[in-house]
Amino acid sequence: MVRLVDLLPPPFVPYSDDVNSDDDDSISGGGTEDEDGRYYLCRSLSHAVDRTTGLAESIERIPDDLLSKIITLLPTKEAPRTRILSRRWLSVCASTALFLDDRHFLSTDGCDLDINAIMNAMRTHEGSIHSVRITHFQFDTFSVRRLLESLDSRELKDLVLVNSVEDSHPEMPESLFRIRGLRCLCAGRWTFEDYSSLHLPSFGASLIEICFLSSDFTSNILGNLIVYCPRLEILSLFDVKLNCLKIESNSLQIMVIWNMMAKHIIIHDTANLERLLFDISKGSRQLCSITLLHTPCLEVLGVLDLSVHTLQIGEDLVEILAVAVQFWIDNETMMLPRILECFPCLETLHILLPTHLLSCNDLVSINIGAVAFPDTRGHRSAYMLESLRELELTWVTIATSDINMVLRCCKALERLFVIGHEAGRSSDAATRDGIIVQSGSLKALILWYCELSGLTILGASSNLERVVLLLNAEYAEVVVDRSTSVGVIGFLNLSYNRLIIDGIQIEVCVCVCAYFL
Amino acid sequence: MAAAAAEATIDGGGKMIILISADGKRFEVTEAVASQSQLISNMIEDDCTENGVRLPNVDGDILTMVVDYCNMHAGDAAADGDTTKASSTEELKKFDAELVQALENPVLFKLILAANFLNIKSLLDMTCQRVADMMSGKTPEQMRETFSIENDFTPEEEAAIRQENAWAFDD
Repeated sequence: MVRLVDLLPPPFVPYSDDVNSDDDDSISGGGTEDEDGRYYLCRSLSHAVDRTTGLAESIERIPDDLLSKIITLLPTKEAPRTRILSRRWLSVCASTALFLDDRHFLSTDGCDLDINAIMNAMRTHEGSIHSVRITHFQFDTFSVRRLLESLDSRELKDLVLVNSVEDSHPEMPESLFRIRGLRCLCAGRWTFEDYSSLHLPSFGASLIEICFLSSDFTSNILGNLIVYCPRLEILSLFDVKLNCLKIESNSLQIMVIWNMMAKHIIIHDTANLERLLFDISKGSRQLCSITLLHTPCLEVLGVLDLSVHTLQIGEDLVEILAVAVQFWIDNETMMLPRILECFPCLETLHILLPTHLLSCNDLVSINIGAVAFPDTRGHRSAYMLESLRELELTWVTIATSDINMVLRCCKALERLFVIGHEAGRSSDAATRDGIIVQSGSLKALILWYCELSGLTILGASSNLERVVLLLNAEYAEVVVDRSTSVGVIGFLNLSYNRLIIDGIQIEVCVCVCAYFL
Repeated sequence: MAAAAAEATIDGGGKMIILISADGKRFEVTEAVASQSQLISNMIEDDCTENGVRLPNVDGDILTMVVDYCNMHAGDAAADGDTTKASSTEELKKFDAELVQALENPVLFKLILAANFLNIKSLLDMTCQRVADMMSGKTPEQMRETFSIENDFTPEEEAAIRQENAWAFDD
């Protein structure tokens, strides 16, 4: 389960992972640091003092800009303490930008956050406020408005504002959009109402990254905002409720849509969009149409879930594509080759099974060769497969004969991953012989958790350098022609697998570990 | 004068550069190692490293540490560099921690100034973080003692500042 906090940018001011941990055995004698070299906020001070007394040399040699840098590295609550050191420190502090991280304001039990202390910290700070990150406070509309108003004209660059309570989504006041000069905005668990477009041009002018988490949009404010962000490069939407998402941006490079239940996603005129990532929708199988028009730079696309997504795409330069296919549903498996035909530049194809259905063993008896590539004897599909260099089949049930077919058809295939393979019910002759590799292009073959009766690597496989095996089947036989350049065979369980290299049968052998991928 | 040595190359083919400290000590390093310093990297680009690079602000003992650090970290900068020099992340972390842990204050401050002058961002970040770590968790009195900072406030002024920032002092 992904925690919301894991999706946030890293903290602006580092803190130890667990303020309350007392049993950190990495603390060495006399030290008060955790393993990252950070001091705990409230650990005993005496040791640290002992270690440094008598080493008196003035810090006065350090120029102001470096002192300022050091102050920003202190925990938010401790930085202002340096004001009291001397007149010089007071003036340096006044010109140092504030990096505010609410983690440093938590009570010792880690539960309560004193918002007034945060407000005080911002009020008493004379200089600019560079970054604010608040994720531990249960906001209401009033408190968030008070906070945002105090951030107005403080030269704020990064703002992370996540409401701490999961099911309360207070209304985001319009004062957010009055902030000028923001580079990164990350807002979680809010309701965005219909705002006037008055402040959007000046709010969006400097934004480079926007992230909305678990938020509700009752209007098209999102689409409107993006139009006014001429420098926006990254847009992430996690668990956002929207009926229709329409995005147009000349600067956008990366877009992530995670767990969104939208009926329509329309992305058009995004001349610089390189990566569009969306997840396999879980739970609700809401149908979603994805329309991509004029996305000339799009190279990475996925995961396209054939059970819920329909795709309309104007450009065909995608190099990396991920698709989720339920191979036990004919419509989806028939659709796969047609989709692949839309992407002639494809270099890498990832085929994923929806993981929550993995346990349905009865359903998993699919012949990927016969279904996903139904036309292998014809020229069209064979031609299509020639452009593939890497093929990854993760937890797919595929007959051994079909792996052989893939190896024969994919003339340019360099890396073949078959992970979690089960032989299924297929009982053809090829199954008895196992996989036969005679591909001139193949460089790496990974058969991981595979139920195979055998593997034969013939001399024609002159480029094959790496073979990694973890075979589930008992009494599988691995035969390697000595004229190949196969470098490594890994995790062969020789208690019941046999390894034969060019006629020489190796009965006793140490399992070769190969962690080189 | 050091032209011949500066032009010398090692087996790997990397061009060598001579660094000369304030007290005249000479260090021979590869371009890949030296160019972690933005200052030297710029000099390499401008082709003015032939007679060795004089560093009048950096003492020999400090430069020894800087060169050690750069040698250790040469792997992260140049991905296709000498693989024997590339160290694992844990090793680097350990090396870095040991480097700054053992330092006495004057040396630490000199190292900060050298990193700043040579413009080696990662070393500057690490050494500044070390100072911040040493300050963290201390009372102002302890900080003054640790870093020999003279209190030039009157007691009234000090009380006023403390009053103004009361939230930062209540623990």
